Amino acid sequence: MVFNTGAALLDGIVLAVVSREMEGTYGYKITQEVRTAIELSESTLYPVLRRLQKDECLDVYDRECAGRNRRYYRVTEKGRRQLNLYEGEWRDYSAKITMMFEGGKKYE
Amino acid sequence: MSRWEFMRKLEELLSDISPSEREEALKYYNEYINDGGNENEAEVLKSLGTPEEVAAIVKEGLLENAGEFTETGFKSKAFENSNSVANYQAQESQGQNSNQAKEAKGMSGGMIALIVVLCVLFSPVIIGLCGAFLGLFISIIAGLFGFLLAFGISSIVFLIVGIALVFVGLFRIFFGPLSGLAMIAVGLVLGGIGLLFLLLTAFIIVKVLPAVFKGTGYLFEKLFNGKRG
Repeated sequence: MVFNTGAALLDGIVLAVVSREMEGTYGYKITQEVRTAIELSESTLYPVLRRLQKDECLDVYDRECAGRNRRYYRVTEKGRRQLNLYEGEWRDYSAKITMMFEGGKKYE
Repeated sequence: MSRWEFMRKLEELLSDISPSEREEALKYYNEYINDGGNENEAEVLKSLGTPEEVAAIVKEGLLENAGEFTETGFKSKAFENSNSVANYQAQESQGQNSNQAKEAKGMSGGMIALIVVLCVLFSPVIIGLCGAFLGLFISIIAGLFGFLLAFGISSIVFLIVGIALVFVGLFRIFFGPLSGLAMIAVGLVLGGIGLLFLLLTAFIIVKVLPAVFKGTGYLFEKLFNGKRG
């Protein structure tokens, strides 16, 4: 991957991944799913999840699974609004970039 | 390194952060190893990196938090976002081609103001250059038109002379058949060439000119946008 992923885009991707699961999902699974889209070291997602949790975009609860506790993350109402904002911005941004690449002579 | 060594080392490295944050982080990475390391614990430990790296990532995240959390959190962030979007659009509209815009990218407001002032100061030069380019454009286009006109007229003359020669040849055939036939032949050749050139001219007018105009319009738009920024 030659393009960098900024903090806002990473937040958006994480929110999108978590929002797909109504019941919520857990750190390892989120990491693996994010890694299908962008290159990311396995340990980098913790601060992102923690920050989104503190910003009240995600809430957490513990669930017992196979005799072990597992922390689940869910998107809050606030998180959903934030995700909408990211989605709108991304649509705008990516459409402009695509236009530059594919229809360079038609802009404006 | 076993997972216990890993966790112990990580705990030690995180001893200087608040107990609740330390507990959170340790819980997360412990669960992560649980979930990922069922079959191959060594593999998941390797992919997490060294405890030092993980500790650095955790602490960096906390640093970021301190700044963002003491402010109004999510809302202030959204505000920043819209700000940065506005900045980005301002830069974008700052002329797509001029070097000044390239230089202005990522510069402070002061620098942009300076560039604007320089633009105003150098406007006589810029306007002069604009005029020169405009003149050049018009002369090129006029030249092309002249060329096209000459081409069209000469093709029509060819055609007329060709037809005239054919008629004269038909008349001369009664006096000297050979010279009459030769004249008709030359007339036909000239007429053919005239017709060919005429078709070519028509093709240029119908097909090539609109394309040229389109291209010129695009160029003007670029020039115009560039000078405005």
